Amino acid sequence: MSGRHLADRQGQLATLDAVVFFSAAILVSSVLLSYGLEAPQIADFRPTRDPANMLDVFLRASVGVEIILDLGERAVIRNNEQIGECLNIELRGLSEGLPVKAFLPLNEQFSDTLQRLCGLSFHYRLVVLDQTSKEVLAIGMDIDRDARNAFASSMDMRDVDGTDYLVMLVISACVS
Amino acid sequence: MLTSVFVSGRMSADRLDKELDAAAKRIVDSVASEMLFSCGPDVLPTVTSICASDYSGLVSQLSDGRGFALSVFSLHPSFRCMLNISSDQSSAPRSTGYASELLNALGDDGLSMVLEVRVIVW
Repeated sequence: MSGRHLADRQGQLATLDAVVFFSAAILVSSVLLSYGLEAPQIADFRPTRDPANMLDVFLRASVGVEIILDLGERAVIRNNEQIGECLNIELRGLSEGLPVKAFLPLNEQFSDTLQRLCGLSFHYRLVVLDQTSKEVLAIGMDIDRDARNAFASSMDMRDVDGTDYLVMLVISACVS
Repeated sequence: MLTSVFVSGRMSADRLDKELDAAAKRIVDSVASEMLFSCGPDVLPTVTSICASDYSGLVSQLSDGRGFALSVFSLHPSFRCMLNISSDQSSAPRSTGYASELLNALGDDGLSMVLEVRVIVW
């Protein structure tokens, strides 16, 4: 009688062990499978062009077209002017109280160039902050704040008056 | 067992992708720095000097016998293909690695252009 009771109990324990083992195996398998399926999708959001490299070459590139601005008096931006220098001129104008719309043709050219550099699968946003971290200028679409999909780079810039600015480029995949 | 086979296969494919990406990055870095110094240090390279140089030896050496394709495109102020080099390997790629780098170069019209060096390795 006690021998049969012991055998039943051992059988129950063995069944319990098997259930626990298979549950653990299923859990581990699903974790591994989800890792295997998820990892490449995250990598797909990464831009093929490095934001730091992009910001650097963008600021060193020529504007490419002649632009006429109405800043109270007629100002001509020649096609071989560097984008960084033009941005400097714009920041000085804004600090002197000129409206952003006075620089609209220049900002549209910046926008076209940035879109060409980051490719059609990505959004970009160029933001310039002053020393108090106040946004002075923003070009491009608002970027989703999901850190996994957004990649950024920044660079210090000093205008002719010695005022420091932080230029920041954020790139995000169009897929949300 | 099936799970472990699937996962190990997947991890091995990921490892191969990473190796190929690293090889592509190595090639693109070397070619871009060769281009940047084609007119001497601290001098913006010209598009003419970039297009006149032969990079096939350098790329073949860095590719360690893998197949490769290198292209240089102008992205700004206009889009056009400037240069194409590829290996003789005609075998179908099982997996590929990709890297690209942007650089400035002086165009014939005196404009500072943006060029992109793209490398695919398989």
